[in-house]
Amino acid sequence: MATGSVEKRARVAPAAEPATVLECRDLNVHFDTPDGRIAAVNGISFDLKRGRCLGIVGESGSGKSQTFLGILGLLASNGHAVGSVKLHGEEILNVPRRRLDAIRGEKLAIVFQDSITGLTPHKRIGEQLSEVLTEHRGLGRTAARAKVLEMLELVRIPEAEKRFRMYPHEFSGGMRQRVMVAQALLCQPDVLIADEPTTALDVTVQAQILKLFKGLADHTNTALVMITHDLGVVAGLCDEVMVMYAGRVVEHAAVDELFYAPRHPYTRGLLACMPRADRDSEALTAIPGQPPDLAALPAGCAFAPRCPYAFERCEAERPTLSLAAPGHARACHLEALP
Amino acid sequence: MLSFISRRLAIAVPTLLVVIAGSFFLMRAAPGGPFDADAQLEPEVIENLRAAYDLDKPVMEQFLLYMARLLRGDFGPSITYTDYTVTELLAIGLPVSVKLGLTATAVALLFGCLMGIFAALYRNRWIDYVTMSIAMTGFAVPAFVVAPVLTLVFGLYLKLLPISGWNDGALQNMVLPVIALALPQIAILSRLTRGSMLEVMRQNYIRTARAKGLPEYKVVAGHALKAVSLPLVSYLGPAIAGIMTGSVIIEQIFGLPGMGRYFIQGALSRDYPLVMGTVVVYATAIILLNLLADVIYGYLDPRVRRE
Ligand SMILES: Nc1ncnc2c1ncn2[C@@H]1O[C@H](COP(=O)(O)OP(=O)(O)OP(=O)(O)O)[C@@H](O)[C@H]1O
Ligand code: SF4
Ligand SMILES: [Mg+2]
Repeated sequence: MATGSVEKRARVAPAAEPATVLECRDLNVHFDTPDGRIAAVNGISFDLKRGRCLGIVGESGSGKSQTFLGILGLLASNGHAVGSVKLHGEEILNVPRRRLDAIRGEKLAIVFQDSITGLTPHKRIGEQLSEVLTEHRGLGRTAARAKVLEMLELVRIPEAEKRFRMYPHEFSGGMRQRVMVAQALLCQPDVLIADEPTTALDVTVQAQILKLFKGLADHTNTALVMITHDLGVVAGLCDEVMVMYAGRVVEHAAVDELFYAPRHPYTRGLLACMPRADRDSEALTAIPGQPPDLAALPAGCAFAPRCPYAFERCEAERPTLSLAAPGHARACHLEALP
Repeated sequence: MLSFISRRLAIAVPTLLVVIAGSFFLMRAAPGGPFDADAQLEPEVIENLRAAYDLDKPVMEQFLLYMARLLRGDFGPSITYTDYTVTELLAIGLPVSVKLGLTATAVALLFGCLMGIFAALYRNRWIDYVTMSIAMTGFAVPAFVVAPVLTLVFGLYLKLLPISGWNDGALQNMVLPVIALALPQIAILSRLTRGSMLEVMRQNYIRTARAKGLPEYKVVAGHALKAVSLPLVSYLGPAIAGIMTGSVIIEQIFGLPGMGRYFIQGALSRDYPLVMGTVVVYATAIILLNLLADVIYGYLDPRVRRE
């Protein structure tokens, strides 16, 4: 696979490159269904460094969530992950459950996309959060409680003391989402995966949560993976971005690089869809056409049916990810975008 | 919770009244009477007997008389068991039926839940197929077939267990009736548990629990079981009703001196007070046990507790 990581462009003085926390190589996720095998994620590689933030963007169904569920060993029962994922140099893909249990929630935490239904309905919020600390840190009830309350306040849950004893159905959607964020942060994980963590939130809370993530990346060594549809979030938070299409990475670059000089037609399309202050919202364009059916992918470039620049080679041969500029990889047959 | 219980009890009273009135009038509408079998009795003797049991009065008046007595806790005298009041007969029959029913319920819950959970955990493997085949059979074959087969095999051929009799509820006398009574419920409960377990283990919050780093037994015990048990608790009411009606047949087949036998005998000989007595006890038990099931449900599911 062509890229290891993409160097962060030196925005500040180029200090020594931080250590790699998570190293993913040639990760594949497939699902066995009655209609055959679905290749949801194909050959994904990336490095995640301490305190850095990696953005993952792409249309619905492009494999963003399954990539990280695969890494965490949380795929549906018909799903399988193949490849290599190393945390601090140690393989964690398809290791025994006991090993995974020691890592999940402690070193690798995730805020799920559908976190509204992510809390156990018949268990008090306080219990559900304390559990993480009793499990990984061996804390007693009172110590865990204090820590949980602190974290609930950090994510701006009002009246945390009272809320501690409440059940999920007594929380609004946005509040449940923040509880999930608090839960993921309890052990100060080395890697936090946030799968569209702000979709259910109103704009002000969204901004607060993003600020929290930003602070996290700046002040602790937590590395952040931000999966989102919102390129604005990526611009404000991330150091580098991977753009996914039909289960593959089509472009991978530092944020500024990607925004100012996209090198894949799909990325360009996504950027064109972005609402901007200087543009009438009605001028919003969506990329025409539908994402491809993963069970029947074309032999060539999966984006070809929707690509305005497609030529013969695109239908015949699948482009592989290769460097177009230092630290800037893309999977497209075009040398440069017209 | 208390207001919930008292409200439910308040609804229970009219329900019980309707059941009592319904049975009372239906029974009088059925052809025949308590003294038809005694053809050798002189007509005037029968008249006297009928008068003694108030049977000569208009049905409505009989009903009011019965209700007035019932409110004082008096079920009246039995017509066929001339030396006993209905209360005395119920005092003999009820403990037998309760012991039989509770044991069968416990056995059904234990085996039904275990089979269902294992079938779900080993879905589409042989454990699943074997338990679900047993469940299908238990569901399809009625008790009046299962019971004689059990008696035949274990009682007559293998001579391991007595084929009938109560013997003060000795273990060896309980085994066959309990199995026959529990089997259909085991079948239903195991299928219900399996389905519920599969459904719950698919939920997002189970994935969350795993993502927290909890070992699987803590995921199942701490985050799944309560939700798995909800449909089972909902089914508890019908299950108890099923075991009670099943008990009527089973007591008859195994010759056990329970409520069910008095009910059948009472019905056959038109012993009105005896039948009414068993009906009142059955109906009260079903209403109370359903209420208990609802209370347990509210305890398990915080979302319904509020109402
Ligand atoms: N259990 C499963 N069986 C079969 N296919 C599955 C299963 N789970 C996911 N998929 C497929 O995998 C593909 C990738 O899904 P994924 O959840 O990663 O999308 P996503 O990029 O996160 O989209 P979204 O933005 O909507 O969250 C989808 O096409 C989905 O249909
Ligand atoms: S390879 Fe061809 S079809 Fe695919 S994105 Fe590039 S130009 Fe478009
Ligand atoms: Mg997703």
